[in-house]
Amino acid sequence: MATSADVMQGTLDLLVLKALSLAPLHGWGISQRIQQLSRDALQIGQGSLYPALYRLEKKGLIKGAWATTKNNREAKYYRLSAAGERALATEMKDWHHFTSAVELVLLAKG
Amino acid sequence: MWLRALVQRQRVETEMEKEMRLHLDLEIEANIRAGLSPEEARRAAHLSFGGVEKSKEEVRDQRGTRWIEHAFGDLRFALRGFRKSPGFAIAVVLTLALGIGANTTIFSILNAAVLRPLPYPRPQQILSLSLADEQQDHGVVDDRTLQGWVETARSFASLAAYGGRLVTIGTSEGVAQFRGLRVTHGYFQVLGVPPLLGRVFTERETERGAVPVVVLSEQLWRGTFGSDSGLVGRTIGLNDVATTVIGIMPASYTTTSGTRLWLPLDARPAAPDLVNESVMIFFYSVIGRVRDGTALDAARAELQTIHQRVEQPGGRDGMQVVAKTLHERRYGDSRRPLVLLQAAVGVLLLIACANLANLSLARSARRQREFALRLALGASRWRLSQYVLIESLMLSAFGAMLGLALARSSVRVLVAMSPGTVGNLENVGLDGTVLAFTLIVAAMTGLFFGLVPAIVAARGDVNQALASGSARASAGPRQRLMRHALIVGELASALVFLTGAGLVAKTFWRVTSIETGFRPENVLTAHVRLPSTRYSDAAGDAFIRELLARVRRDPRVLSASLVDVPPLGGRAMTVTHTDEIRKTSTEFDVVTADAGYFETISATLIAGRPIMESDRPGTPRVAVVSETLARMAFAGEQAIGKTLDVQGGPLTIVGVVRDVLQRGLEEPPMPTLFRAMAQAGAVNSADLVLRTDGDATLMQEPIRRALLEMDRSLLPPPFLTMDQALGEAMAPRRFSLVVLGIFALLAGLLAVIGLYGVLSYLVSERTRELAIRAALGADAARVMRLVLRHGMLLVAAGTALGVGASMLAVRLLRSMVYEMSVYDPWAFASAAVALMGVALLASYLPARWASRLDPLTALRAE
Repeated sequence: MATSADVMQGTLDLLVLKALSLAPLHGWGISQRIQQLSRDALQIGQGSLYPALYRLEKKGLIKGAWATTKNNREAKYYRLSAAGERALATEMKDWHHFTSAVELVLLAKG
Repeated sequence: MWLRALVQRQRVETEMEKEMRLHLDLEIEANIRAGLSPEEARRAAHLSFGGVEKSKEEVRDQRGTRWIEHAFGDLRFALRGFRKSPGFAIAVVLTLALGIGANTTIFSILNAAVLRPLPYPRPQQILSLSLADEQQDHGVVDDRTLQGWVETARSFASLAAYGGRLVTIGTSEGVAQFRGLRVTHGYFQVLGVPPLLGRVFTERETERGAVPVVVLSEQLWRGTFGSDSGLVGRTIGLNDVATTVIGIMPASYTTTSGTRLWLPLDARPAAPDLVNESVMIFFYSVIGRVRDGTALDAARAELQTIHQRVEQPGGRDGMQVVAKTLHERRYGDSRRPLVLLQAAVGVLLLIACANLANLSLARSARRQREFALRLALGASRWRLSQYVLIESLMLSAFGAMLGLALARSSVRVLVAMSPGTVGNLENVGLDGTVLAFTLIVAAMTGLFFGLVPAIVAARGDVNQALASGSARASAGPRQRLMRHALIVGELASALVFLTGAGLVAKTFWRVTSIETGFRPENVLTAHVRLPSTRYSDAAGDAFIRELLARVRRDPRVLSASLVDVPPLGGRAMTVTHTDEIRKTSTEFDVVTADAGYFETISATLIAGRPIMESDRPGTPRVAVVSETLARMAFAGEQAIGKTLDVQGGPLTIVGVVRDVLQRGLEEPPMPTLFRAMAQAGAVNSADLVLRTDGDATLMQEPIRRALLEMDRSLLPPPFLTMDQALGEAMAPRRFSLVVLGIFALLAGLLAVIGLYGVLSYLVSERTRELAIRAALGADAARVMRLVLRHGMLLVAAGTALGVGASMLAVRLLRSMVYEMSVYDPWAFASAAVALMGVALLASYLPARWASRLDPLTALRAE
């Protein structure tokens, strides 16, 4: 199974965008959400998560803002920008295209 | 973009810290909720997070400002390194300061004289006009042609004539002489600069016989008149004439060098003198501003047509009109030498760069292990190159700062020393253009001498360097070749400068030993000119003779006389003698001298007698001729007893003297005729010439006093000793000699230091090998020969290349220095020998060091 280190960079970006498309989250929340959605199959190492977040923020796909959590702690919440939503849509399409193509190859018989 | 990121860096750092701590805290809490003990929860969280610092590093990498952060880090690191071993840094900074300082100095002069446009509106419309025949451009225009142009030329918005004149101004503090310009009323319109205060000349004011008026420069107004705001409208004494100041021109408005005031000029042709049946023609410098949209060629063609229509008195043929931009006229001649000089300092800087690249290569070879270690620890090659480059850029920045300070003072020295042939140097200074130039030169220099070591650093082989185990790995063959090529180039360019300096020194020596025809020591001249408003020619003549008599009474005066143009005093009256029988004509200068003149200047009489007191009006008119005139006019026949025609009849030649240089040292002696002053008609001005038994300047005060005793309102005369006159005549050559000498010295020094550095490095690099050789029985002499041979091979290659390059360079130089021979084996050989001698010394020291190596100590140290 894929572990944190194995998640490809492009894939990680896609997962983060998807997680944020559902609701704004802070960093830890994102890793929890992905872990939960993948039924514990994907654990995002923090070492790759934060660089990914900064990268996406720099590209303008997500936006970070400081806010207070339920437990009254300061945390940086990320949400998708309009550009991020468009990117998510194209990347999802590309992903489906890619996986179905790989699947075709893998399922091919003699 | 990255600049903002850099500024925000601090904020981003704290946010990142906060964000990651929260993440860790939440993870720990989740672990505790899952049932772990707090200790275990913390451990698990840290484990899953990975290194906090590593994550931060990776986040930072995403920001794209890394290279700048690295640069700052490198700067700090390099600074620390230089503080620890300052020798290298000091050597580099000083070398660069010299190189960049020299370049900035020359460039600031080039900038002021050649590159900067003239300080007038639309300067390209201002043309300088003159007439030329087949032989030369006379630089001036006759008054009739000028009148034709002013009346009919339509391509010009305005035209003006001007000519120089020295003006004496008397103030409460004394008197001073200034350079003035007589100008027609169109002059200020052509240049197009409004006055700072007051107004400029009207047409009426420039007509003959108008009330005297003057326009002063801001410099004169501020300096001599203390910025007195009430000066305009007031009357001041100019050459003893009460003159009204009507305006002040701003300081930025500088015309030909040193002009401090402007006087009116009527350039219209004078009415013919019917009594003497003669026509006077005056010649003026002329400038004009073409109308918008008129091409230079069209304007010139129109002037040419008008010039040909104008009737030329004396039936002279029409000449060609020359139209140049005013900038070209003023600076055209100094452009070439200045560009050459700039090229020369450029080469000097290149030599310095080669030296530094060499030094830096040697240093980076010594640091190869450090670099290899950094590479092994994961630094990228690009990062290493960046570090080496930043080091050299930082050094060149320091060098540039020091160089600028150097340039500031050397510009002043150079301007003070320059013979005035380099155009207008009043506005030389470090302006924006010069600063930009220095910045670019510094950056290029840093890149140039840093690039080679940077490339070498990037190529470094990790394993080889680490495995060799020695703190100083040997340089690879490529590095060695590069270093040797640099040294050969340096030696060659040093030889070029040395040869050039040698050649100029030789011509200089030739000039100082030139036969001047007079002995300058202890001779003083005083130029006495009496105001024509109060002294008729006869009264002036009597006055001057009375002054001469008083001066002769002083016991310190060995002899004294009068002359109209003293030796080296410039152009005298020129007369053409035509030999009707042999159909030849001889041009000669006519100098008017009084009795005792030849004795006073110590001219050598070859034949006959000098001019004597007995040569008075009424006695036969006599003359003494120079050797050259006697030879040219009479072709070897005895000159004494023959006659020559000079204005108003024949003169009988009574004596022949050796040639006396009248016009300067840069021209061969003109044939000259000396006539007796007493027989030439009275004039109210002359040069008093006297020889004293000691310091001639001590006679200035007695002469000044004698003059004032005779007429209290007179201004003291300008004094000049013959030594000063000779010094001034020698100034241009001394200037080139000093400049070239400094270059040669610097270039030679740099090359020799470079050679020494390379050989010492070579010895230290080969210590192990040399020690083994010594241990195996090679004696000291053998080891020494080994190193010396290496050095001499480099020197031989450099000398061969340098001799070839000198031959090319000397051709260029010859255009700058009068009477310089191109192929002078003596100069070439002595320069080469000098360089080789010093180079031998530079190689000897490291060679001796190598020969004294103690094999045991050397091997143990490795």
